[in-house]
Amino acid sequence: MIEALQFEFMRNAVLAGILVSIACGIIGSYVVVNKMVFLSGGIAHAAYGGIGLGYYLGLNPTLVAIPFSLLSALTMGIVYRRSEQHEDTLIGVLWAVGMALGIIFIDLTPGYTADLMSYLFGSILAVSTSSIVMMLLTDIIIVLVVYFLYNEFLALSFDEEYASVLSIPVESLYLLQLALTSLTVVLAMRIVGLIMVIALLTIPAAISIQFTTRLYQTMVLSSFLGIVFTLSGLYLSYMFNLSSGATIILVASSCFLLSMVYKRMKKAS
Amino acid sequence: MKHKELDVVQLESVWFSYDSEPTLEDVNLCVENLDFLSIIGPNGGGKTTLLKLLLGLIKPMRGNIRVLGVKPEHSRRHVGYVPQYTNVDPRFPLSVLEVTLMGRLGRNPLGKKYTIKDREIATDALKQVNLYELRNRPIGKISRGQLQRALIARALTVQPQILLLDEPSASVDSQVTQHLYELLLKLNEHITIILVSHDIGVVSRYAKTIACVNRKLVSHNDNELTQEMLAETYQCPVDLIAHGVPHRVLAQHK
Repeated sequence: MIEALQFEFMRNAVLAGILVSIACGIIGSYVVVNKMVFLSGGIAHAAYGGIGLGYYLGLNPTLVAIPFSLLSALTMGIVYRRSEQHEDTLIGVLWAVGMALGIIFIDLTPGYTADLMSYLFGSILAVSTSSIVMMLLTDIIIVLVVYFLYNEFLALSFDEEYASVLSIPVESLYLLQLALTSLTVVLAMRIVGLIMVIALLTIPAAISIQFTTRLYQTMVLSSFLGIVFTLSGLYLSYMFNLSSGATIILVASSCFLLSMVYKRMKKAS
Repeated sequence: MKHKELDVVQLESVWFSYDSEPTLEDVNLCVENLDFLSIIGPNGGGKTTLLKLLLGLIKPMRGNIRVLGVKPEHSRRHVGYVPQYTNVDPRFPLSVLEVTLMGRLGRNPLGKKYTIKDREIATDALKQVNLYELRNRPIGKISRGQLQRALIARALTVQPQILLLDEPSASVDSQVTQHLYELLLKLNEHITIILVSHDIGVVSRYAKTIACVNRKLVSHNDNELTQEMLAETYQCPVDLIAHGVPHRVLAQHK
């Protein structure tokens, strides 16, 4: 593995794993405590529409996916809050519409779309240096926003009705949280693919929440665990010549299972 | 019902509905300063709706609401709100002090951290509800009664003139309920208290005023609960001879 690091693609893969894990650790903690897992899944899948549009326009698919998924996240967020019932149905529909749009755009695109699969299943080994810069920028934005709005986000997540009573701009903050989620999702897609993004977002946070008593601790531990999972998954996939995205997810979910067993045994003893 | 200068809450022919059926119908209510008002009524009778109207979270279809002389959305920074503790998730990674401090949000510009004064006020509130020693405990590691008191401490950090409580005695045992109401009585020395509850027995022991609500609101501006009020509210005769209640619920009938 050490000798593998002399290749630029390997160094980029390691850097990408670290940077994306930080974003996923912070945002994933909100996703888990806010019970927005399904909504985030919807955002991730709808982003496929952006990928398709990128191909169709002949632009960098990730760059097109960012505004596309921001827009779809805000649409879903507003639908989620304003509709009086069946919000999960509406999320499910938007989820499918995004994917359908992506497929149609790709149909309309002339020529062969070679690395389409990499967006679905991830390709950490194909992360370019410009993507690394984008991940770094996103991390900086997320850390700054969460640092400044930590208390407000905490109140919003813990007890939204009370946050409204305090006249905190609940809906704007909620949409801001969704916007950060969609940025994270688009970046994490490079690592594990949009189909498995939700696991990278939720598993580290779901493990951490069992062992922490403050939300910022949950965020730090999730980021750390995310790094451990992506790097060890990357290592295993390299050693055994397996798909990196799927290996990372299986490492993470095995640890999730172990953590629950450990917690249960500790409770019983 | 005449409005007085001292009234902290005034509702004038207030109507509210979520759909075609009215939830509240022609509600009139005046609450005097330093009153201890209990609003009782069956589930779905409009108690929580009434609280939400007082907090300005929803607006009436018709009628007028004044809290501390102004519209509810302008007065709510002086109103402490205690939701049902079952509304909050005890697994949330959060300490008692962090919950209490939340009451100070919304006063400073967004993104401003808590000041030393905010922390002093929160400390003071925790001492009032007797939770200061547990301030660093995660909320998942305290009892229901303690969580309830933490939510009261959070409401106290707005330094309220009115405290609104939603079902404070729901699913806590009678010992805890008694401690809770004794705390409320103490707070009532300088804060007007309005609570909604379906627990008729305990409410009539501590409240100064009782109102019954089931779409319509009935109140006689005292703490006597008459058979007529209950019959009108619950739409059926209610047995008021509660077992093991040392205090008389009904006035003596001649």
